[in-house]
Amino acid sequence: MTEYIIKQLFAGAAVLFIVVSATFFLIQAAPGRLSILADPTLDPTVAANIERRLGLDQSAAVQYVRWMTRIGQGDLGNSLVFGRPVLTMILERLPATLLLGFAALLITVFVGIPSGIIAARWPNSPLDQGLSFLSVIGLATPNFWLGILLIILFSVTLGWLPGAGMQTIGQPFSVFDRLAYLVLPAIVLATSTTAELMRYTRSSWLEVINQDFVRSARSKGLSERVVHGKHIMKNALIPVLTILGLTLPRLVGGAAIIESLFSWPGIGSMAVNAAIGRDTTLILGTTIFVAIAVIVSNLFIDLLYGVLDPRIRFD
Amino acid sequence: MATASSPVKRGRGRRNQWQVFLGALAKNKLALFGTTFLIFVLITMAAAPWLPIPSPTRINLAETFQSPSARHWLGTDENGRDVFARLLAGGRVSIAVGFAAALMTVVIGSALGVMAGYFGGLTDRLIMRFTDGLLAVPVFFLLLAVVAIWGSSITVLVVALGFTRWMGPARLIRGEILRFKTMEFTVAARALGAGHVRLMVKHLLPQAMPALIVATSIGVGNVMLIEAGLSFLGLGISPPTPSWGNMLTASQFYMWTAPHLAVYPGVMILLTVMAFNTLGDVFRDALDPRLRSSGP
Repeated sequence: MTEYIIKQLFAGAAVLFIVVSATFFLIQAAPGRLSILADPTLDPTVAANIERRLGLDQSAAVQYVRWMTRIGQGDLGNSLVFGRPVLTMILERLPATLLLGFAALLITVFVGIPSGIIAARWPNSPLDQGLSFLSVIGLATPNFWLGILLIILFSVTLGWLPGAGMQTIGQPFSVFDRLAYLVLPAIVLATSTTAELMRYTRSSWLEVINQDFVRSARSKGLSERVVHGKHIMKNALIPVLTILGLTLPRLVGGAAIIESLFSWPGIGSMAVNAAIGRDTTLILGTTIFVAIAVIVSNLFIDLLYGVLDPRIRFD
Repeated sequence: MATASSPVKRGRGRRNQWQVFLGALAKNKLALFGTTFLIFVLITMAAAPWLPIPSPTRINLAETFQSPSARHWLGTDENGRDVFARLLAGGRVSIAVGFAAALMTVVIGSALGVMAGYFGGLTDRLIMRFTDGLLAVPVFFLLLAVVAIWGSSITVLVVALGFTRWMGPARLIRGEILRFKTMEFTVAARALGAGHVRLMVKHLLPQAMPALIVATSIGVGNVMLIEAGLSFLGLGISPPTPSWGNMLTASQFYMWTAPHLAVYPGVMILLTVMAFNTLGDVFRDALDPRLRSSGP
């Protein structure tokens, strides 16, 4: 077990190393110079000063080592546009993203898994066909478009739910108010992951149904309710956990578009604005931060997987 | 006798595979609908120059937000441009980018997948660890970073999508190679003196063709969704070139005055992506039933 954890940690660190290196080469290979330096009205001595301060006058190898050391020390640099530390800016906006991501994850799990089980419980029934139709649609719908449609319906036409922001301006914080703002973006963010988890749960369930121990349970005279609720459930849901791990990066990635659409003040909309404003340090810092966060959470899911399923050998 | 019968046999084999494909397509109603839709759209797009429709980029501020008419089949947008013409032009861009990027993911994915499966051992472990690792990274942020640094030309988009979405194809193709590399034909080719490269490219890769087709088809759908998202944010295909994604950017600002503008491009993306996804399922069922177990 300890060996397994160390191995996973090592693999995670290796991927991070590659991602951070990739970001460095991305900047190095970029065409032209930094946008602030490309300004023709800029005094050459000022430009040289900026270059020296940013270490751009050094060789690529020196810059690479510096870049890696700095990030290794947890320093993501300062935003080119705002001049503030990237890490501070991320931490300020992280709670909003966590709230949205957590809400979407709850929807994914509590809608995706039950509907997958229902579909597998009565395979090829009209219910199963209807659910599988929905999942095909859910996987093909651009989530931001669904967001636009829901805003048009619920905010513009019906006026039931707010379509932008995180709370009513000028009003004190209230849970109800926050939930009203949270509903639409969370549903939209969860659409494709819910559809995917449903599909996966269904096929995992159907695979277990054909196994010998299920036949034994049935031949003992156990009711379908007990067979499904106990015997199949335990075995079918464990692989579902892995897909949940793969869902995280998709939720986080999707948050970028959805936060922008709903003006949700999280790190996703910040990253999009940074990309539009060519704020290289801010966007790279956010990318690295998000990569670390997701890799670490996946490590936890891996461990949970091992605890839940003793058949898995940590080798 | 043997020489005379073999071409006939091969011909029949081909037709059978085609029939199996059509059979699988007929069974999957959504795929049948999607494929019909896709063929219809592709033909209309190809015929666009001969259709009596205005140029997709012609701005006419006297004719903004018009309803459908004989002149403007689906009405006009905020700049008085013909929505139908823009849908066709935008679709050409979106589908072309989707296809190019999906091919790129399959090329990169199969190169790595074949190497991992063929060499096995440490090479395999390294490549697959990296593949799994990259799957855990929210690549959308990486794409944002690429676009921020390199700008958002179509070439950058295709290459960036290719380099960040190859993991699925790589895993699929590795599995296939693992299966084929112990089979007699591989052993025979090796015994005849075929080298590593020849074995991989000439003998193993063609066998994985069904997997490649499945991966491409599903890849087009995935990549089109990401491209649409980036273009919607103003970080993908940039105006005046229309794409289904960037047509939705503008519609966002006219939700009150012209909500219908938001409908058409979204429906087109939804149906096209669904067509490619379900077509991928059909290919999987028809070409190689064993692939079915590899999940959704």
